[in-house]
Amino acid sequence: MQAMPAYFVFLPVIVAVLNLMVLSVMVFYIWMLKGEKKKLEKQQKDLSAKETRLENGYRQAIDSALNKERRILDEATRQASLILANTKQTSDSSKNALEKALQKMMVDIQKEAGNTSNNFAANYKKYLGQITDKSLVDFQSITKKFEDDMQKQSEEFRKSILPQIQKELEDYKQKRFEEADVTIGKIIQNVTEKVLNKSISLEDHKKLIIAALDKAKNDGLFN
Amino acid sequence: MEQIDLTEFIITKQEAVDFSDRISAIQERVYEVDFNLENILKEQFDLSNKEKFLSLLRKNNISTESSSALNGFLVKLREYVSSLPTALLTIAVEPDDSMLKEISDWFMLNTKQQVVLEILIDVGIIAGANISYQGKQSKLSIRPIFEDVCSTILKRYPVKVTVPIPQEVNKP
Repeated sequence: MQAMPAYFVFLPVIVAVLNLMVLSVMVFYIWMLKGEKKKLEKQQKDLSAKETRLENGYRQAIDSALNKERRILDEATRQASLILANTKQTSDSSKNALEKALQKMMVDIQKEAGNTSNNFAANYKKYLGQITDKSLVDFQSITKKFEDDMQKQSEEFRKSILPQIQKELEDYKQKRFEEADVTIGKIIQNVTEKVLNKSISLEDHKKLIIAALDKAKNDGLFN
Repeated sequence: MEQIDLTEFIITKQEAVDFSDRISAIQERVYEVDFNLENILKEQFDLSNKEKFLSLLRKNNISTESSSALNGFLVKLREYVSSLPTALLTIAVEPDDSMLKEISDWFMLNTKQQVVLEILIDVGIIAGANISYQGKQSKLSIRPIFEDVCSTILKRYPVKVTVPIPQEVNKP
């Protein structure tokens, strides 16, 4: 109990010391932070300067590249125009030369065609005349030969084939007559049959039926 | 089976069938309460046949008052009709009643029994008859004779078809 009041006496001191310590630590910390902040600001400034330098460098490079490209394109265009101009000149002169050559060729061909057709017509006339003469002679000889053959064949026909045909015709006629005879015979028979049937009276029919029954009985049909 | 004379009723096969049907019709009504034989016979037969039927009953001593006796007789009648032999006759004309009667009487006389006739008409046989009886046949028409005569005459007096034959063709 005597010790306790001692603690109570020193406690505010201890607390004050502690507070002082904490405060000092905080001040030190804040001073540190400020220093760090300055450092960072400086670093940032350096970085911005670097960036600006880099940017300027890129821009310069791009500009120079663009200039180069423009120069190349202009040169290419100039070269192309030159080539086109040359080509046009060449094609015009070639065209003229070609036309001249074609015209000359046409004239030559026409001259040649005229000569050839004249020759052809003359030759054709000559050959046609020759053929006509030859054909007439041949035709006459063929006609004479044909006439002789026809006469010979007609003689042969009269001597051998004609009698044979006549005989066959006669046989055919005979056969058809015989067939007609048979047909007519059948027709006569049919007609007679029908007339006979109708001409027999019912009474006679009855008698004939009874006669048939009697005969059947005698033959043993009803045994 | 005892013979019953049905020549008054049946000559042809068609008549036999018809008669049998009428007997059946009568038989169906024999045991009816108000059965009257006279009336039923009038329905089934004409006047003369009715009398003939009543006469048939009397001949066979069948009492018309007894249904059982009547029924028994009707059964016997049907059996008898179905047992009658049939003769198939092929003839050249349509027979009339007298011809049929005469033929039927011929059978009665010569075969000593009633025979039912089945008639076929064939003008091709000209006259006479072809007969078929209990599986046996006999062809007795005059057709074969007719054909024989015809062919003989046609051979003796042939028909000649004459057509004028053209002259020979003259040589050119």
